[in-house]
Amino acid sequence: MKLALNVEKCTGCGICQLACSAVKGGDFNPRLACLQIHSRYEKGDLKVEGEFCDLCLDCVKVCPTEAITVKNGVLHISQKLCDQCGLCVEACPHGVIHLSPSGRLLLCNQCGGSPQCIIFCPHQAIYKEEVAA
Amino acid sequence: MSYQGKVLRVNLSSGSVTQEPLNKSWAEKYFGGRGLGAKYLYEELKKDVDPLSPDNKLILATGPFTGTIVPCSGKLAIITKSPATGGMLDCSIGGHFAAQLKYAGYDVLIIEGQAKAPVYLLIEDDKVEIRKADHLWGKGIFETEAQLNEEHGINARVLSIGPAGENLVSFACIGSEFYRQAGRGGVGSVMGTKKLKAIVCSGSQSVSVPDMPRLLKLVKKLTKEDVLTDDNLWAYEVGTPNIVDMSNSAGVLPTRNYQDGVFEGAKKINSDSLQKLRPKKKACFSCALGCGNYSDIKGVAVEGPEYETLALAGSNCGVDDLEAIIRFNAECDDLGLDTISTGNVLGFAMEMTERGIKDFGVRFGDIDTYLKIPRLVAHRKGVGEELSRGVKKLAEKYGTADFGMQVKGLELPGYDARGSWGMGLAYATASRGGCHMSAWPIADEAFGDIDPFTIEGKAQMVVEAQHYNAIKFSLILCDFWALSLETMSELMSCVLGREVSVDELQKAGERIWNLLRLFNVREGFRAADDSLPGRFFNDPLKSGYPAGKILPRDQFDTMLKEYYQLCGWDEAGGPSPEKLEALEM
Repeated sequence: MKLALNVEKCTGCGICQLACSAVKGGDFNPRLACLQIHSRYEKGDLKVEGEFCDLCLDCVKVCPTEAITVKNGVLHISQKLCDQCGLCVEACPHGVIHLSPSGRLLLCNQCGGSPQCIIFCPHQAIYKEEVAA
Repeated sequence: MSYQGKVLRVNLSSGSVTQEPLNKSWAEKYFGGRGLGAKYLYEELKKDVDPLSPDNKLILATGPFTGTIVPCSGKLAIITKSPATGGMLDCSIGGHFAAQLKYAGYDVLIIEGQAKAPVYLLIEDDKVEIRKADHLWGKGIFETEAQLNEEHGINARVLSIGPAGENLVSFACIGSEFYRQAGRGGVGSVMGTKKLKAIVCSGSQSVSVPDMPRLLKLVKKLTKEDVLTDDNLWAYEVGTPNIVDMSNSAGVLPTRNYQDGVFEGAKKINSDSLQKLRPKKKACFSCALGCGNYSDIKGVAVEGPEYETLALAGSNCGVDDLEAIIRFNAECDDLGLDTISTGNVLGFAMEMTERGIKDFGVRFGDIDTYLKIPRLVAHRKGVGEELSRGVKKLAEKYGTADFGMQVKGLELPGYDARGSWGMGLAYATASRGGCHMSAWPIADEAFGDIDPFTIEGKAQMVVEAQHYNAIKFSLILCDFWALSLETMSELMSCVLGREVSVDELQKAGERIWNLLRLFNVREGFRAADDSLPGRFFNDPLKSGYPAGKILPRDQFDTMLKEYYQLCGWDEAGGPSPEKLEALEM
C-alpha cells in the first residue's frame, strides 16, 4: 500500500507535513517531511498536488551501503548502515527523502502502519491505496 | 522554546540589513504578534511621526505558535502607525507567510526608512537582499505575486501591495496568496511610502518545542474535540457569509450608508446564494478549519467574499448583485484596497450624491459606476482623488461628519451599533478606530439572547473581550477558533517549556490592551475621540427589530465612563499610574 491524496478534500494546511517532520525528525520543518503537498492559486485556479513515496524503489537501487530495504511492504532505513551520502535524496523522483540537519535519513515508512499524516489530516484527504504493479 | 530568538532589521534608506537577538524580556511579557510588535513600535517610534514618512516603521511579528502544529496559528501580525488614524495599527494576515518567516529564522522583521526607487525584499534564511522592483511597480497584486513566485520558487511566499499602496491611498491593504489581506488602516500605503513593493520569504530551518510528545498529544485531542466541532466548523462549512442573514434579521446590516439595517436584497447576497459558486476550500498554514471559500463566477475568482465585503460593498452600497460584488472584491484585492473601507467610502459618496451635497457621480445600486471606482481610487484619478482620502477627511471637508461612518479615521465595518449598543462601545474604544476585531458583542446582543438595547453589563463584556483578543492575537491564534484561556495556557506550556497559567495570560492580555492605549494617548488621543458618528446617536433605524432605535448619547457616555473605570483609566481615557504599575509596565 502507498499513500495518496484526495485533492478535492485537501485544503493545503500543511498539518500532514508538520506531523511528519515532528514525528520523524523531532522538530517542525515541512521541507523535511516525507510527503510534500503543494496548494496554490495559478491563473485564477486552485491547484493542489501531493508528492508521496510510491515505492518505486529508486532509493533502494542507488543506496551503496544497502541501508534502505523493503520490510513489510514499506521502506526501512538502517541509520547504522546509512553513511549520509545523499544519493537516495537525489534519486527520489518525488523529493520526499531528506537528510535532517542532525544527519538522520528521513524517508516514508508509513510510521510503522499508522501514518501520522493520515491521523492528523483534519479533512481525511490522505489515504492508502494499492501500489500499481 | 518555540522562538527563533532573532529579529531581522532592514533599513531601506541606508540599505543595511542586520540581525539582533529577540528582546527576551519583551517576549516574556508580550509573547508575540500584536503585543510584541506593538512593544517594539512603542519603544522605537518617537511621538508625532508622520505615518507616511521614512520615520515610520513596519513591523512583522510571528508568535510562539507560528511554524508549529498548533491549530489556527498561521497568521502574521503587521504593526505600524496608521496613516488612516494616526494611532496604533495592528493587522493580521492569513496564508503561509508567517511560517516561512519563522522557518527563515526570524521572530520579528522590522522595516525602516525609505528606498529611493521601488524595491522588494528577498529573504531566504540568512540571505537577505533588497532588490530592484521597477519592473513590478504599477502592477496589481495578482501579477506581482505570480511573477515573484515564478522567480523564487514554490516555497516562497509573498506579501505585496498594488497601485493603491503605491499611491498612498489611506485605506490601501497588503495582499498575500492573491486573496488574503492585512486590510485595515492604510497598512499598504506604509509599504508604498517606503517604496517597498513586496516581501518574498522562504525558510528552511526548523522550529523546535521543548516537549514534542506532549504537544502532539494535546493537538490531536484538541483538533478532534475542540477545533473541529460546531463552535468553529461554520468557518469551514459556510464561512462568514452566514452572517448576512443573521445581521439582516437582527436589523443591523449596514444598508445604504447605514441609513437602514435591513436590506431588501439580502437574500441575493447571502450564504445560500454564494454556496453555489464555491468549488474549493483553502486553509492558512497549520489550520484544521480552512475558511478560504474560493468562489468563481464567470472566470472571476476570489476567496470570499467575506461577510464584511458583502455588507459594506453590497447592502451598504445598495448592491444586491453577487456577481458585481465578486468583481468588486477581486478588483480591490488586485488593486490593494481594503474592501471594508472602500465599500464604506462608496456608500458615503453615494449618499452625498443623492442628497445633492456633492456630486460624486455614483448612486446607490449603480453597479456600472460602482465597479469603476476602485480603479480610480487606487490611481487617485478623477473622483478617486478625493475618495482616496477616506471618509473622515471627506466628511470634515463637507461638514457631514454625522453620516461619515468612521471612528478615529477608520471606516466602520458591517454592524449597526443602534441595534447592538455594546458594539458601539467596542467601536468607540478599539485601538485601531472603527474596528470589529477588538470585541464582538454583536454575537451576544443582536445574534444572541442579551438585550441589545441596554448598557447594563456592556462595559464589562467589551473589556473582557478586548483583553481576551489582545492575548489571543499576540499568541497569534485565529479569531475563528473560539478557544478558552485554559486551552491557550496548555498550548503555551507545551511550546515554552514552563507552565503558563491562565492568570499570566489574562494579565498579559490586559497589559497589551493598555500598551495599545498608551501609544494612542502619546499621539494625543483623548476621551472625546472615543466616540461614534452622529447618525448612531441621532437617526433612528428605519426597519426590522430595532426600528425606531438610536444609541442615546447620554447612555453611551455613561457606558464609556463605566468602561474607563473598569479599565483603570482616568477620565481622559488614559491608563492610570496605579494600573500601569499593577501590570508591571
